[in-house]
Amino acid sequence: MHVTMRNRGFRLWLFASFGAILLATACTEVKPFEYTEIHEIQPGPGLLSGEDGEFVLFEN
Amino acid sequence: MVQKRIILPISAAMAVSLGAWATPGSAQTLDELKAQIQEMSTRLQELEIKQEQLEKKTDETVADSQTVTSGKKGVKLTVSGQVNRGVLFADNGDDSEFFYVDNDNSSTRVRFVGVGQLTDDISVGTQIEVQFESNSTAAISFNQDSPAGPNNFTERKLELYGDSKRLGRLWVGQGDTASNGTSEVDLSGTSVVAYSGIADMAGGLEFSTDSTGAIGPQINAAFSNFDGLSRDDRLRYDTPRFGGFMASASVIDGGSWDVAGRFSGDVSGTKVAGAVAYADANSRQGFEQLNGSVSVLLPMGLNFTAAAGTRDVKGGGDDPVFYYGKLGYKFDAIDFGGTAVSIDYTMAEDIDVDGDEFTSYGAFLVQDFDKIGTEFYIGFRNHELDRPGENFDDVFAVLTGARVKF
Repeated sequence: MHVTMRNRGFRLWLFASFGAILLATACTEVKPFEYTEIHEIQPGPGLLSGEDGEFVLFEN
Repeated sequence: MVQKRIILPISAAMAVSLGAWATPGSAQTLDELKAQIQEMSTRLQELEIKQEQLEKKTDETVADSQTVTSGKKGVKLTVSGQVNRGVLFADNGDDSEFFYVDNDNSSTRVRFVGVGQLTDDISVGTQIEVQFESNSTAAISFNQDSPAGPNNFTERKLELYGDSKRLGRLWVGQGDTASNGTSEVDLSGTSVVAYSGIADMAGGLEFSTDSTGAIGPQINAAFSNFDGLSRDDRLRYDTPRFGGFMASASVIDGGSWDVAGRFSGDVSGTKVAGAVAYADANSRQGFEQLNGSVSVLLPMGLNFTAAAGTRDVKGGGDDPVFYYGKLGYKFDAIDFGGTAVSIDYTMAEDIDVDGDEFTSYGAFLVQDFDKIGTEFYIGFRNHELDRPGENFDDVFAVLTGARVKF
């Protein structure tokens, strides 16, 4: 990927964002937070399946 | 049976003991006590037999009521899914129509997940997820006479994995490449109707030429959020999480490859999630790509999301680029579930044609109804495309509907 003025600015934005995250997490205690990607079926209750949002067909 | 083994000897011991210290004057009382103990023992035996019969019957009833069973230990099979349908109104300056759509922001789908535990550390899992989109917002057209297809199931995930808590997870099959989702991190709670992939709301619709009304490019041709290499047939590896960080890499059928880093954590009550990815798709699609996104949700509900990406197209002109920003707020307006509102703005350049300038902005509301696993939503979005030598009218769209998890 050759570096143009445009993607140089973009890279600056990208590194600044993630630099800020790294700095924030390095300076403070990070507790676990499980992020579910938005293209996944989201956690939470279901209309028919109830609290877990899924039908357990079997579990041994 | 344990009770029986204990109680019978106790009964006998009591009888012997009573006999040992009893005087002749109390012989009648002693006999009565012996008879009572004998009767109790008999009744106890009868009750034990009845209990055993009842337990056996209960087990048989439970087994009969399960339509799917497995004799294996340490395995689990679940099924889940959602239906996401809505009404879309769109106007491109020349034409305006209502469409009854499947919302491509989060399509109608079903998922089967199986997990088997090999050891405390190692498990193996399978996932089959398919979608069925009738009249998808990404496929509709102002010119269509009948609902857009595909009118069948299409693949999302057909994969298996081996997972070690210490070593990470290895995926094989059709599923998320390492970079998929890295432009789409979003904690606003409104992603069902709006996220950085803004073309999912009405992407199939076309701009119209300002002067003649002739059909122009589709929204999803003029815009991309460069979200990695999507889902594909691949081999993918994810590291375990270290302090909220995780790295991934995948090689894809045809020779493309990608790497990604992800973070999610709760920093002093503020939820933060982000991702960044690099993809080399020169062997198949002829480009390299760099993209990322970050989202921050403050304890008070205010949230910020940003995403950006650029693509170096082999032999192409200017590198296309996109930027996205969203401001949102989550709160509890009613007792049934959370409320989320947001506004967003995106711009993209040179994606379809060199010199293109695409902008879009909108406002969105999502209301959760937790008890029925449902989110109602409404979103308003305007799309603008400036192209050298051509003038297009804006495309305005309103999408309202519901996503119901079943």
